[in-house]
Amino acid sequence: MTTAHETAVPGNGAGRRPPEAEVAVAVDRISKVFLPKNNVPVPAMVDVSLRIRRKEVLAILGPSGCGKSTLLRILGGLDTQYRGTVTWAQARQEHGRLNAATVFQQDSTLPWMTVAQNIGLGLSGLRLDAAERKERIDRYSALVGLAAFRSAYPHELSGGMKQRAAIARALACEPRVLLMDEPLAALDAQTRLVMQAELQALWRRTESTVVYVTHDIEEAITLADRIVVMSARPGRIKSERRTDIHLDGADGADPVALRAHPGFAPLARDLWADLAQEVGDAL
Amino acid sequence: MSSAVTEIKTAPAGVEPTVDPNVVRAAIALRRRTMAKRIVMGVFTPIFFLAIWEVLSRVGVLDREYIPPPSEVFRGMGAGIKDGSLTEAVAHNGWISIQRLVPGFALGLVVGLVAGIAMGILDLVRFGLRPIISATFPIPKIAIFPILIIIFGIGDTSKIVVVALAVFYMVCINTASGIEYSNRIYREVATAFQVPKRVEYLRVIIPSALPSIMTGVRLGVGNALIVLVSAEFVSAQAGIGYYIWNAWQVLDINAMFGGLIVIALFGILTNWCLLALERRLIPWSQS
Ligand SMILES: Nc1ncnc2c1ncn2[C@@H]1O[C@H](COP(=O)(O)OP(=O)(O)OP(=O)(O)O)[C@@H](O)[C@H]1O
Ligand SMILES: [Mg+2]
Repeated sequence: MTTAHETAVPGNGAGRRPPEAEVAVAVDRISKVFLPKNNVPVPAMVDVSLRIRRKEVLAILGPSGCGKSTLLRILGGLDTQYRGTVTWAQARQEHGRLNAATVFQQDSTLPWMTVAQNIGLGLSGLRLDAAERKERIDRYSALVGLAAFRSAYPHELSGGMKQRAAIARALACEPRVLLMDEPLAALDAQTRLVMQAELQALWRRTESTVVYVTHDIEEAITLADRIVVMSARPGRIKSERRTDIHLDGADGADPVALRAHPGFAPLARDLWADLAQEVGDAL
Repeated sequence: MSSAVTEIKTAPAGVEPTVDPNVVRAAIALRRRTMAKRIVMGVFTPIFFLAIWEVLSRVGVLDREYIPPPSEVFRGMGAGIKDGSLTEAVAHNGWISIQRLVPGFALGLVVGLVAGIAMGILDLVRFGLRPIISATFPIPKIAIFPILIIIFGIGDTSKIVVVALAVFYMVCINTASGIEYSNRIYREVATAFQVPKRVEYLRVIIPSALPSIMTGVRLGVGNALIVLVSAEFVSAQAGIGYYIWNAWQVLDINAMFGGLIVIALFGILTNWCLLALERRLIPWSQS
């Protein structure tokens, strides 16, 4: 099983196999076929294997329609009709912690709830006491810059603000693995940079485990410890790279400054080379 | 005039940006104009139609004996109100109708909500109930009324049940489809965050269907009035439907229109209340 995974995943990370204890969730040879109404099967993913390690930020890049969202839905427990196995290191829920919490690609705020209630809904499976619940709602709404909008309804917010509320809801859960599906795509370019810095700082501080889907190569390099590129539909793992280009104190937590890093441009070029071919195939 | 150096203006620090009062005034004026148009059109359109009726009746296009001009109807009604005969009769019969309408409506609402929610949430219930409901829905409820009389007798119970049936279908169908066709993302959020089932039903699924449920309730009120008046036409010794039918039989035109106006007012009033309730319950659906 592990051998299959290693051969299926070429790239820099393949040589160093981490001890099993460090794996938060193992995805083994997952295949997914959609059967739409017209009964013509659509293979979305073939034999995808991944190890998601504790405390790492794993970015997934890939052309549109290659199965990135599908993979996240399977990890998040939203899709149970697939072949292959997903093995979590821990039981689904214990000590008031979820294995996974999701930031969806589309708007997922509930329009009849305020920002605070939307965040609170995400916490309702955790059995927190009232004080801790309130503390988390306050802390995370402030983190995404919505402290003043806690009692606003989604229809009173801009598109980017709604997405930030959805991000706060997932972060506030403090799940074992955070699943983010193009979370910053709806934000304006400047807010996106600020949010990248915020997320990066938060994840370093809390040693979070994150699976981060994005179309933005620079964002992937900025945030991730490891970057996986998927092939055009049906999705497979095409390449996998480690990156040690990070925002730390020296860079002043500035995602723009990070682009001056000597490793940045070559990595971006390599990733684009992988992607360009697949994007071409996808069209 | 262009210059190479652009002047950079910065707002003075610590000063709250002030809103231009002219802009505010213009926004308020626009809102007032819209309001004025609505009131003028809302008042003058009915007056216009009444005027046409008045003319048609006076020149003899409408048979004056059966459809007198509105001025005459109003005068007759005014007299009936002054001596108290019309008011008393309408109030008496209206109150009797309300005593049938309210329990019937409540019964239909509760059963419709429960069945609709169960159909929306549980596939098996939906598969089981939908064919029956689709097959019986198109039957005019008043056509079942004779059967109901056989089962429940000639008294109030059969009328309450026929009202309940009319409300049930509207509420049930709209609740079930409201849940079934609400945006899937809401339930996916509940699943993704492992929200407890009770919270999912009360805070996610039912609110997502509220706009559709409220539509069902408003249609239900309308249908309840139609069905009750029809039932009272054919089988009642009192009630607003009986009153109108009786007025027609004795050719008391003023009483007939008095009854019609009471029903119309009741419809407008309940619709108002429901719209106000809707604004409170569904603040997100208006912008
Ligand atoms: N519900 C569905 N029914 C049928 N086919 C589907 C369904 N959802 C996804 N697919 C198919 O599966 C493929 C993968 O979809 P997915 O949403 O995972 O793509 P993605 O990689 O997230 O794309 P994007 O970057 O555009 O968000 C798509 O090509 C689509 O055709
Ligand atoms: Mg996607």
